[in-house]
Amino acid sequence: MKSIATRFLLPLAIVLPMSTGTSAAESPTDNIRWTGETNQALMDFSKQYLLGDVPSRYTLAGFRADVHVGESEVKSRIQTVTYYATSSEIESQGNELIYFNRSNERVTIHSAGSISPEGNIQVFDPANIQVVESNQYNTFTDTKIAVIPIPGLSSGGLSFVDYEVTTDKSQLEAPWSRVFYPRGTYEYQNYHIQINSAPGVDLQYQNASDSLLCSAESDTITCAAKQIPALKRDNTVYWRDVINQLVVTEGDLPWSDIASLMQHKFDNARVSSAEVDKLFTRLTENQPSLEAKISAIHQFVSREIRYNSMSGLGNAITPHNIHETLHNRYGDCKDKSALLLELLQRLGLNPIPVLVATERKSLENLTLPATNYFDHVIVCNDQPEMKFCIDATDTDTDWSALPAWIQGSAALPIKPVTEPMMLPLNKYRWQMHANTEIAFDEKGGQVEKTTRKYSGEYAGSMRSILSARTPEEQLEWAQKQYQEVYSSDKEPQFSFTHSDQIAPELLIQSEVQYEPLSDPETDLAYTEYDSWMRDELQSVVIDNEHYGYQFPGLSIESRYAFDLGKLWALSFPGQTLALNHKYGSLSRTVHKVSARELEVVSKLEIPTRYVPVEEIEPFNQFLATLKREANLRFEAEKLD
Amino acid sequence: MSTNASASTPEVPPGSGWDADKPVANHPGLSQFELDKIDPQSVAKPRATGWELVLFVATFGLYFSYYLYHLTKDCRTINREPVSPGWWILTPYFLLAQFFAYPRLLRLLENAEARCHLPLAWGGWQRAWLIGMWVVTLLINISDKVPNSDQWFVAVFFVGAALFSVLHTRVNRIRSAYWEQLSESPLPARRFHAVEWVISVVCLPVAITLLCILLFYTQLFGGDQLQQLQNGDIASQEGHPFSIEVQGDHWARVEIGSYSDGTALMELEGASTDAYFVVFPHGKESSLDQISAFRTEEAAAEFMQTSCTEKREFLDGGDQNGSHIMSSLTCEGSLLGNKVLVTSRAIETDQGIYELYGQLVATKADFTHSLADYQSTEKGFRPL
Repeated sequence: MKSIATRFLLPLAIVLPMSTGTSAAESPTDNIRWTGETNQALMDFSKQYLLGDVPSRYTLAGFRADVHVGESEVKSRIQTVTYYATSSEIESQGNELIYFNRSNERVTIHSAGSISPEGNIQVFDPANIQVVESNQYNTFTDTKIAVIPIPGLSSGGLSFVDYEVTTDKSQLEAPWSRVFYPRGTYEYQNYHIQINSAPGVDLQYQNASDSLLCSAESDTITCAAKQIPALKRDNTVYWRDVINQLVVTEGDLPWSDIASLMQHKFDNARVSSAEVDKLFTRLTENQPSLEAKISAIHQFVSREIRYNSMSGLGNAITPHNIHETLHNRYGDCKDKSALLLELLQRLGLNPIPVLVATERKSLENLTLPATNYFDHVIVCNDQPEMKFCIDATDTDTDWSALPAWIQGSAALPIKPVTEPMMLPLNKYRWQMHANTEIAFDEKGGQVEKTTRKYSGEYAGSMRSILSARTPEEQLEWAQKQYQEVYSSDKEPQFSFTHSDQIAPELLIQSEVQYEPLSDPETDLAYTEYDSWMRDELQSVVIDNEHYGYQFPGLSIESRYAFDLGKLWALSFPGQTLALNHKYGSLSRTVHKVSARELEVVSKLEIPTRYVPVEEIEPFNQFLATLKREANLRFEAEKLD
Repeated sequence: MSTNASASTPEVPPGSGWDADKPVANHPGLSQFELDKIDPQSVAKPRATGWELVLFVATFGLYFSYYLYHLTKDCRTINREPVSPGWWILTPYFLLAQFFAYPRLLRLLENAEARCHLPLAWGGWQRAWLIGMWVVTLLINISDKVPNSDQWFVAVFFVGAALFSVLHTRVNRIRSAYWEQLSESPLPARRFHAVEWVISVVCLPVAITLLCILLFYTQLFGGDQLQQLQNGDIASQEGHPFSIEVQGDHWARVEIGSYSDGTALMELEGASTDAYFVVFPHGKESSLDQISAFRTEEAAAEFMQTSCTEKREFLDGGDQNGSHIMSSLTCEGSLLGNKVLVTSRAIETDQGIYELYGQLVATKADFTHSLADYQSTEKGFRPL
């Protein structure tokens, strides 16, 4: 599968705390305290576990979360015991991770360490704590990770961690909520969650997990499971869509209230001023059309305002004032979107912010309304006659195309009446047109000229690869790509069009000369791989085994023009194709322009579709068949 | 047989009562110069009809051109009237010319009979012979435009031979009378000269063989029929995932090896072997490209002016989950004036590729007549 389409997530944590802000001047470890108080019940459980039938692979032997939602703060006591069967599991999983937000959460680690199979305990030294960012480019999650390298781990042994996270509710920008992921790629055992609330605090919960049994009595919600089987691992899975979750929220807000809350934050960030007026005029006054004005605004916001994660204190989900953004010339997705909203509105459009859950491609698990499903925001124009969405953080994709990585993501349009929806999936995400001209010289050698035209979001993806490179690196990259696609050691000359400026299309031209491969004294039986089409078909093969896959859509048009020169005359122009299948089609026409000129036009169209797991094999077989048929063949007679 | 011919004065047998200078009534006579050139003994002596028929058959009727040339030349000699024998060589080939030529021929014969003091032959049948000759020429010309053209051609050819025999009988009668007037001694029988012997010995077996082939092609070259198939019948082979639904009532399953090298799984034969189909198993190692390349090369080698096209599509239009492909290669060409259609329909199955190879080689009429059933039957080749 294409790398850009293979964004997948493993559940990074058993619980994902609510994102809030913090001061950048603070040390990340300031929020972490060590008590060294060993929980005897945890130790007893661990030792007892080792005496029983231990599993044969890495297992979460025990998990207990005791959450108390008070009026001003939320305390979450987490205790985990993990079993390691092999040394390789220790190598890959030997660190325990604690997710927290340093601006509004404090972490108190009571104990952490390991227990050998023989029962020997080795306690973690708190001086070895490391705190790392969990942020990714484009998204606004501001979660930190405390990494605890468990000492003394050995095969057949356990690790244990006992810690408490205290959340200051006064610092939250939205009502408190929490999502539990009660399943992982390894087995969970002895899973227990208990959530209670202070008087006057209204807790709502929704449990979608089949394994987890929940009950609610007065102010306490209890969920437990003795054993939760592991999820099957696969190559391309959005785990948040696969794991049926337990969601707990404070209060019972409808989606419209969530939208209203966010709308208010964006409204506050958008402050009209002479500076914004001046900017708008400068960007749009010389543009001939509405589309050109939108493009100019998009280019400014995406490229002139550099991306910088700004999800600090009070700005986890709240955009900064657009004056601040303009002054700093940087911002994150919220900040850029607020500015984009302001500028687009001046064009007479009706832009709205849209929250995006970039790692959710299904609405099924967006059960209770909450903000913390979402980690990104884009701007969409909400007009029936002109619908488009712009990702202000995307510096490479034209405004008219939705960037590939967020297509099909769960989203929440911020408008008065709203509910979660899916961002559109383009019928063909990967669109390319390849035009190849091959001319034979008098010795049977060939000059091959190829122009590849990438369109829409594919142009954006290719541009992101090229724009990060110097001209020399671009040439090197293109030559390497050519050599891989053609299985050749040739080094063609390349030129690029629209590789640096945002445009709907991007062109890559190449020219290369091949020495004679055919005997000019005999008839010609010519075969030629439609290399770029074959490469595209190969790149979209689905390698999942257990989960379905949203195929992104592929449209390739390929034209080959052969000039046989003075050596040969066409006798058989090759096969035409009318390969129409329920998954897509590959058609080909052959046109004998003259006795010495042949034009072969092939068109591949595989629309986006969800491929259930049971159809992956026949779907891949379909792709393999098309790849095999992406092969040109013609015959020509030697001219006297 | 010409003896003692004189370049300036034709020899007139003594006491024959033959008035060589007397022109035929109602016709302008030849000039003296032309009369001087005519040798009265150049008229062919009569010959038994059987010998003439041998030459007629051995040359596939081409002898008739020479025969007319010689006959008109004889008529010129006998009748002393102007005739251009050279033009008569072409007469058998042009129906339009025959509308004028054959009536003229009959008048020449009548004049000759008059010169030889013979009563007119045929009477009312003369018109029937005339029409018969026209019709034979017409039917020969259109024989490639009617179904079963080979048999049609043979039948018309023999009708033509019969009309030729009738003509020769009349000509023999005239020549006999002529020579009887010219010579009192009994006429020796005319036999073949050397060239005619060569033609007869060499060409007659060939001609008879060709006529037999045309008449009995299926019996001579067709395979041993295993099963006659009716329209809509489905032929299949146990253990192999294909079937053929035939269109038309003239198909038959024939013994393996009738049209293949023995490696085929099934062979079908058309009624007159204009057409046949052979199913080959190619297994999983072969590819559609390999089969296509082989067949295009083979067609170019076997036939003239071949032009091939190939189309590939998913079996069942891709409605099912399978991704098996069917390839249809069609090559058109010609062979000795016949139209040729070579087809290769290859289908991918779980057991490998199966190919229905077929040929339709026929005259234009037979080709057109057989084409629809051939193509429908070819399309009836499907995986099970």
